[in-house]
Amino acid sequence: MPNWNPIRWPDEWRDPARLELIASTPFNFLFIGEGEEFAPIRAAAKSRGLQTGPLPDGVRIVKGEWPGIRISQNGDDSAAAGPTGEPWVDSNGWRVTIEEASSRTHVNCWVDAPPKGNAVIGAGAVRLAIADAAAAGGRWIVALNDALAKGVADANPHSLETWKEAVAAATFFARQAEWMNWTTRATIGVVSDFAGKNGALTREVLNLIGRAASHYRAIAKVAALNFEQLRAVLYADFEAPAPAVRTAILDFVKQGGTLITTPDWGAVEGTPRGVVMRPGYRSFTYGKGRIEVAAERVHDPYTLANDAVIIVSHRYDLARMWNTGAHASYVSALPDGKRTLAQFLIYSDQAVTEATAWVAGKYRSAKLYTIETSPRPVDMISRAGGVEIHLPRVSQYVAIELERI
Amino acid sequence: MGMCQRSTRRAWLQKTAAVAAGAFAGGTLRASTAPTSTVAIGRSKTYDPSELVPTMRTMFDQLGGLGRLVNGKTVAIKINLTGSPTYRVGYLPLEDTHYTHPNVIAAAVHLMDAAGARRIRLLESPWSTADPVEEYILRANWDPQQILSAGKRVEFENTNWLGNAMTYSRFTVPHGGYMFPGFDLNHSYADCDVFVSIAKMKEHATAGITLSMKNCFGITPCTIYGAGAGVDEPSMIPKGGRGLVHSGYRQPSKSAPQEKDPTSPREDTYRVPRTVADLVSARPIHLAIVEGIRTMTGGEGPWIREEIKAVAPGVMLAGLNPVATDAVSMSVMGFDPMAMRGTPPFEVCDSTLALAEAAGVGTRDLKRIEVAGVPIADVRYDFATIRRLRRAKPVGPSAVRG
Repeated sequence: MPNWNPIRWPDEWRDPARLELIASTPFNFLFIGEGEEFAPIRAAAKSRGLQTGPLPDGVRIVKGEWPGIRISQNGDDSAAAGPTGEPWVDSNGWRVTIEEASSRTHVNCWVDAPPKGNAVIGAGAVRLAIADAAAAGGRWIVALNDALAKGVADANPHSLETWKEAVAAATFFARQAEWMNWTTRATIGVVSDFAGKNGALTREVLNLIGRAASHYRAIAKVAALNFEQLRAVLYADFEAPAPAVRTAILDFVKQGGTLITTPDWGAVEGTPRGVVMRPGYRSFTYGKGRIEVAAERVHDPYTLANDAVIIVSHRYDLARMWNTGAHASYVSALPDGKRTLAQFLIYSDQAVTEATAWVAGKYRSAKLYTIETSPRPVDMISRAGGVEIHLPRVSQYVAIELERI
Repeated sequence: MGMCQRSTRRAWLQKTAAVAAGAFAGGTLRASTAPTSTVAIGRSKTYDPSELVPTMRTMFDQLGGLGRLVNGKTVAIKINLTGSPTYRVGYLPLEDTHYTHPNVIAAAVHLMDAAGARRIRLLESPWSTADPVEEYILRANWDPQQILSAGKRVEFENTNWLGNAMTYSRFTVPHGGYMFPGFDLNHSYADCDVFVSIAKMKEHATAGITLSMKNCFGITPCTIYGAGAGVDEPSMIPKGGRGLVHSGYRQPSKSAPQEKDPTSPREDTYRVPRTVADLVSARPIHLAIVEGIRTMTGGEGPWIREEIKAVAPGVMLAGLNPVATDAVSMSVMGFDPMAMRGTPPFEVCDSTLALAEAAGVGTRDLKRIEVAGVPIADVRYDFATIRRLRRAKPVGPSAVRG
């Protein structure tokens, strides 16, 4: 797949000479305004071998949110709280995974989530926006607000620093493009059409499973159903699954998987277990696996996501992290399983110190990647069925590539 | 500070002193007759079961043997898992600084099981969740199975909410209560014959120290006493911490006993020690265990802004009276258990020990407490000096009270 790195050309930059700003950067697809005034820039871009449209084959654009901790609307700069009192985090990772799941072929997903308003954007925020999409296998369409674009054009030091970080982050992920081909690891698969009423629930469920420090895979009902390496499947659409989908899910359960569902599943296959595994759920044995059915329809995505995570159990977590506050992680592996990649996003404006990462599995070596520094080996401590890595001071993104024993 | 604030502060101090004097005046007589009990001290440099289990067995034997206490009984053990499992002191595992160590819990379970306990329940109210305790500790990188398999019939219960019961259990404070006349708690605190508190030996930002009694602050369910508690009835799930009890900005759910005097000081250093004294009066502790093998100085968890440091005192204490056990623990820490407000570690808070003693829970007077096992002087780990030296250093504006 071509290594595309998109950027939205700021309206502020009318002079074709500004294209020098992206010389020697990975940006190779430019969204340029359609007005005649931008014709010279389009022409100059093309002459430099840059793409300006139409969208390349295999590229899908999804509308996203400016990622990070959402600030409350009460004007005090405090973080908005999620259902447990934890800060609310906007992320685009789940949007990328849905888009990829909904396609029958591999797609290159670009996230359109420009910064809101014209507030000052720091380097960390831009780094996070790029990493948030890239860690999930997508690309953020790099977008500067008017203030930042003007600041870069005027060589404002703060703006230039932010721009430099944007280029550094984009360069980092362009160099690691092979990671996009690694197989995403997950414990919970969410099967849905992710549209309409179903989507309103299941899209948020994906987001919240990630926030609950678990790992998910979006599985579109219309596409090939892949349950490989999953421990559980969550089916929470508001209608019973089509026969083919039902059969595929039940085959997964028969082999030892867990189905978590709601009364809309319809008549439940299997034998009642007579034990309550999770309050509010009825438990059935089916083949080697089990089916957990909510006694009543669950409308709250937080409840559903948390129930799913607890039914599966943190015992099967793929990665954990300490001392970073709000964070997310993505785990993937080479198809032959010889190498594992754990990517961590830290939703903080500031760098964190004394953070620890844990990755499930046994490994012989680990290499640390950050946007700011060169890859380097790191020590591991075996613990709790995995390895702990004590991280140096890190900013919004850190990745650990591990070689299996 | 403006004159108005100064005046308010002075008025508050006067009121606090008056209320405290009232509280202690009636208790002076009770203090001299407050129950006492032997406190056993043991040394264990590590959490290795081969060292830990014999040490704890000896300590329990010095108290008269566990069999006498737990044989044929349902035992409820309040452990200490304060704060989120995703926060550590530096790179250290949580159990090395502020969580009760899983090996200590497992050793206690093992010994109680061997002593004939019929059923052992491990209780905690984990931060802002109704999820099973097992799931909570997995996120700390613990293996709950290690603890569950230490005895025949062992289970965890999250007591931060209603849990596996139809209603909360009402506990009345025998002496009437300093802050609350009673509490509504998870059924596990009622459905037991023996109640045990296993605490970590630590200082505490609000209460000065946190030992076997302060550990019981966490028995209050946040569905009633937490930030997201329902106004009329308990909320379904807990949300946030116990700021409600700390600052008194609102009352618990109306279904539960309300604060006795809503005009009393809205100051956590006044309220928390009293609430703890009320709690241990209402839900008596039969066996107090204080674990100080590895712990921290400077406060109760990694969120404390005072300079914190991991330390290894290598000591454990156990006693049948929580006030006496905490008093000896304080002495091991280099503090005077007879200290009152204004004296370390109670520079700006009231002494939970003094309040509990005045309520007749137990004595803090070392002259009245028999110490078995290793002498205090031999295991003293001087938190008090560390505290004094730490506080002598220039501090930033965010330093916490003590």
